[in-house]
Amino acid sequence: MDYIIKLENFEGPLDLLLELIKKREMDIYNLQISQITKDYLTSLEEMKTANIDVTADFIEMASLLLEIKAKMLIPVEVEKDDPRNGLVKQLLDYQEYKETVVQLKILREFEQKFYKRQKKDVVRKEKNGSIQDIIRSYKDIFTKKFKVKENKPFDKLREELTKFKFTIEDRMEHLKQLLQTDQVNVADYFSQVETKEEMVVTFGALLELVKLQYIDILLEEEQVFLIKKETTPVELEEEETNG
Amino acid sequence: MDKKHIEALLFVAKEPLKIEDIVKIVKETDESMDETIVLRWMFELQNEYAERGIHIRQVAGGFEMVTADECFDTIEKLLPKQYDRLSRSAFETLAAIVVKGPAIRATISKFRGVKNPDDAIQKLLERNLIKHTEEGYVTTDVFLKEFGINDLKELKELKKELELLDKNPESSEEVEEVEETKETEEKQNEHHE
Repeated sequence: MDYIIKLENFEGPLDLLLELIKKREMDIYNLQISQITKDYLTSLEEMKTANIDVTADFIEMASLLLEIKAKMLIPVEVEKDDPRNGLVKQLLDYQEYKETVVQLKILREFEQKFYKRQKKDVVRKEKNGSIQDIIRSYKDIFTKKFKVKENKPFDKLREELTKFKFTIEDRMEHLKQLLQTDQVNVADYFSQVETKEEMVVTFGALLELVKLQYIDILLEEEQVFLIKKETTPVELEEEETNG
Repeated sequence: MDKKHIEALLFVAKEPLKIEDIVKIVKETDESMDETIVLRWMFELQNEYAERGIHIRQVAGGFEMVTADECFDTIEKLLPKQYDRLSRSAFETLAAIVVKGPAIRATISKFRGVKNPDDAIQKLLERNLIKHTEEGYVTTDVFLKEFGINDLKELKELKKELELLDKNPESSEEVEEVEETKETEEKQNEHHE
């Protein structure tokens, strides 16, 4: 039966109905209710066979179709409202909705071709630096490193020979020391990192310090900085144990 | 005062400027300014810019300077695309609100064919593309700006144009009667049963 359509993709009864009408090349304003009801019910059966969830909305539409079909059979006085009108309105609305979805996509695609002053600010929320910024910086640095390395044949070998020389604790200490005097530019700091392992460890240390509330992340002119918090619970704790 | 002041305003503005806002600004330096003059200058500028790399266009009820769309390929090399992607559910929700706005949750739910439309609604609310009113959700000026629409009526007009281009030949006799008689005559035979 060629009017049976791919069933999975329907977003609701109106979607299914509209597709069936299109398949039959029917005019929305002049629906052949008995034909379309038959198609619709067959489709529901198919959906059940295919184990697709036939929700209450689909059943509701089926009963509406049957109701209209029944009303159409009763001869009525001229000029009386066509029983199909309600459904036609629904279908037209739905059709408009479907078209609008496509239209909005086109408009947005087209809108991206226009550049204007400060468009960036409209879209991107201003923020004081977040973990995402660190991740982005990390990725940037990493890709840069990776690109350079690709060209050096011995680097890969050396990388494999490198053992895990770094621990998160060491890195944390190192960062803490640096932070005693000044803020740390994340990009600069990572650019001194040599290997993948070191980078992972350094990043882990950084996250750990954030978690321990030892450092704050600061975003200035697209650069990520780390600064030491004024007083931190960790520091107090350490002082206590030291003393 | 002359129209170069308007031009300068458009150049520095970060948001589309409404005519009444421009009038308010220019009146502070020149009391004789009014809407008719500003509007005339605006249209003159618009014409002068028509062939340039920067155009003046109307969006969300205001005027703004944008780069010409044919220059996109070139600009893109310097400034990559900056807009976030919207999900399918976001587009669907927006479409339901555009068609039926103000649209309540149930309406959006019905059009989209999903039981729970809240996630998509929430995301659009956060991005200020829609807002909540007593009658339901409506689209915002941010939506108009991000989609380059001047006002929603314009969107419907645009759709009519698209429909005319892509007219279904099987459309009803009622509609055809309103249109050109020639076309109707041609198709009448097809419709006769």
